[in-house]
Amino acid sequence: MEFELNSDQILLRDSVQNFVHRFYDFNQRMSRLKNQNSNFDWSGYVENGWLGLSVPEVYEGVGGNIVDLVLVSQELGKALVQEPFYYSVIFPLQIFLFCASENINKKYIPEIISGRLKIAPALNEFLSLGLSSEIQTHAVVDRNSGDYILQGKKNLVVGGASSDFLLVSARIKEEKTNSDRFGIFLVSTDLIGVQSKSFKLHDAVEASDFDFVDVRLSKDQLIFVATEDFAPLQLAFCYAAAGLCADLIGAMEQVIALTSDYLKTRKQFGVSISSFQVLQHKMVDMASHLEMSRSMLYALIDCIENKENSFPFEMASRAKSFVGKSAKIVCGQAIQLHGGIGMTEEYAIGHFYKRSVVSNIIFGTAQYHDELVAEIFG
Amino acid sequence: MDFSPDQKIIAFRDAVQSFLKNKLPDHLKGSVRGVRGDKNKLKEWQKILQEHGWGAPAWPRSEGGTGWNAEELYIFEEECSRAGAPPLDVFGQRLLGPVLCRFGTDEQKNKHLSNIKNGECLWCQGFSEPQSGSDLASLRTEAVRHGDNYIVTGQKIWTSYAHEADWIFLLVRTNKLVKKQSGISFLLVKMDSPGVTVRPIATIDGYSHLNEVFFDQVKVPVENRIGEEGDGWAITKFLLNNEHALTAEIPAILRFYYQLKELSELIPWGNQKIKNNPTFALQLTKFENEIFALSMLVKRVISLEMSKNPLAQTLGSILKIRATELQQSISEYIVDVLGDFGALSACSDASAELKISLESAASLLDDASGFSMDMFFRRASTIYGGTSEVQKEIVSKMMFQF
Repeated sequence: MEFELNSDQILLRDSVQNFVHRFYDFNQRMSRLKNQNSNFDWSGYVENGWLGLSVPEVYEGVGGNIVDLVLVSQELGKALVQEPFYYSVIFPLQIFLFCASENINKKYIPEIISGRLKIAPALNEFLSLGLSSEIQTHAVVDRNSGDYILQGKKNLVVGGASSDFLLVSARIKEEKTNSDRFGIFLVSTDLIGVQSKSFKLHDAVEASDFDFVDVRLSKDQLIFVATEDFAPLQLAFCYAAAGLCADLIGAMEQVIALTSDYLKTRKQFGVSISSFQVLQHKMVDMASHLEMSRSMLYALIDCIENKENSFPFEMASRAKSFVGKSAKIVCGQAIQLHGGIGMTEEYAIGHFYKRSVVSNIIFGTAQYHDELVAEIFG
Repeated sequence: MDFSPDQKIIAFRDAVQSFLKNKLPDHLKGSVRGVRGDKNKLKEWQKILQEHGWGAPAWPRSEGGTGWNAEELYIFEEECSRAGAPPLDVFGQRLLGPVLCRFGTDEQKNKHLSNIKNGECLWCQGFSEPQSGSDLASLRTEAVRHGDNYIVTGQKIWTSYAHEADWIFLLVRTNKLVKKQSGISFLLVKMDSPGVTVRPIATIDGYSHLNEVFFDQVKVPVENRIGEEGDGWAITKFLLNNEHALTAEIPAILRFYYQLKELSELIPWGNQKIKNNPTFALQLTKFENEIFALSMLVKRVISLEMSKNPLAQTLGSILKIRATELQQSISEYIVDVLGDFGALSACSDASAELKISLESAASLLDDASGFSMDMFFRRASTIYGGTSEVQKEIVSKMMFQF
């Protein structure tokens, strides 16, 4: 186990830092929000090759690994960028890489990482993460044509409205057998029967709910099938969860830095309030949450890299819960330490808090995951 | 100490319930987000209360109030909240009103008290400044005497509902040569005075009730000063001591609690509802225990305030610390329980979604994003009215003389 970054990793991290310093400072964020411009702009990410970061060279990618994905996610999270890297890049690409055939990947991955095709994972339902057969969305086989007819509803699809395709998980009902199979369909958002409602989340990110009513899909749009072995999809989820955790860790770093600076400059009662022991200890509590979260993320990566001897999916739930909770606490305390100004829209702290609230909900809340792990659920 | 059943109190609660049943019109009922609702509903309700002789529930009889004791006042607020009555103008009713009763001249009382009781005038509170938050005594807005007037120049911040207020009560510096607390005076200023500018502050809860108020050479008649020059700090301490029971906002906590219970009956959990989730039931029990204890603590604090016992300040600070933490934990838990719907912002068309998904006609659920807004708003409750840190300093000094 090695914790220091090597020179390539340092270069990667620095290149993301340069990128966000140029295009994503807080004033630029405020301009985008004022102009109601919350659309995702992936062009810079494409130019830097970050969409293809973990994609093998055979599919025109860079051939990086999970550590590279985490490094990028962390710097993006620290800058509070608009584009959800873990949701729109890591998750769908890992689903393709772990679950789909070579032919499918050859056809779609180069298009995705060049920015020409936009894909959004649409697995989540209100009561389920959508990673197994415990879901409502289902597809029935049309015996005559061999097509699938899809019915169901997917919630909180981030960036769904601007996507060309969705990755939709469904139970596949077979008349011949009694047990349903599980599948992932590649669904074009143009198809008849695909309906959506879009809305803004607290951090101004756009998401959609999708309804599928009698959506007709051909056989080759079914890119993954499972009866008992969900491990490939779960592994993709683990990567996405690691990305989300890294994003929040970056956010916590920035929030702690901003708060520490504020405490040093703010004077009340004739002194800098950073001299008050209570506030110093609160900063330490925040730093403790950060370092424990960072450790949790590394534990998840360790689990993923050594998956023959561990259960990464369970660890992803633990990490998601732990880091999600920690980020909310840290960002909430940052507001407390700033006083009134922390509550305003004109200051970054409140924005980070909203991001942490949303991130705790996407992919399931901390409570949801704790129950999943404790097997209370269901 | 006596807890035996008090027939008078039982009869009082009946009277309040009966009054609300007969006199609170349906169009004024509703759940309120944040601290208070629509201005016109508030005024209409205030008039109805005044017609019944209940226009000032917290003032002594001698000043035209109901003269209720701690328990009666608590019961009145509890029943009003349960019935969905509009919250009153806390600034006029519970902050300035008692100050006028205690420190005002007859002219000042005549001019202002009845307008509070009949809803004609709404008030706001001009205390904090950008450089004077926790260290309020360091405030710099100054009032310079010119004949029969003060000329006021400065800036206040975090002024709730300044955009709806007719008048503001203002802390100003009238003397820069003495110790900072001793140079502060208490002024009443009409909001439409020339030189007064209100600028809204956008906050993360989206409610838009906070403002900055700028004073640019505003002429304020000397008779608008309460007490003598330099009395401002003593009046402020009196006012802040009155504020303790208020900041607990038990009605808001109860509102969150009832919302949580209703949601738990409706939101699915596996094949059941959230209320069947043992983790939820456990958490609800913890909330309930805290609510029972806090409700009694409020009554103790009001009782101590009414008898002018200094212990009111210590227990009042503890009340604020614990009650605001509970406001935060319940409102956060509601958002947790909403799952995916907890992520939707105020500018989204979330209302239909939740209603349809849960097949519920309950008005509580019309607005999924409103629950999140409440949570964001309550993030400030440990900051406004004196931060939890300041409250702990007060208790630490007063209770332990540390």
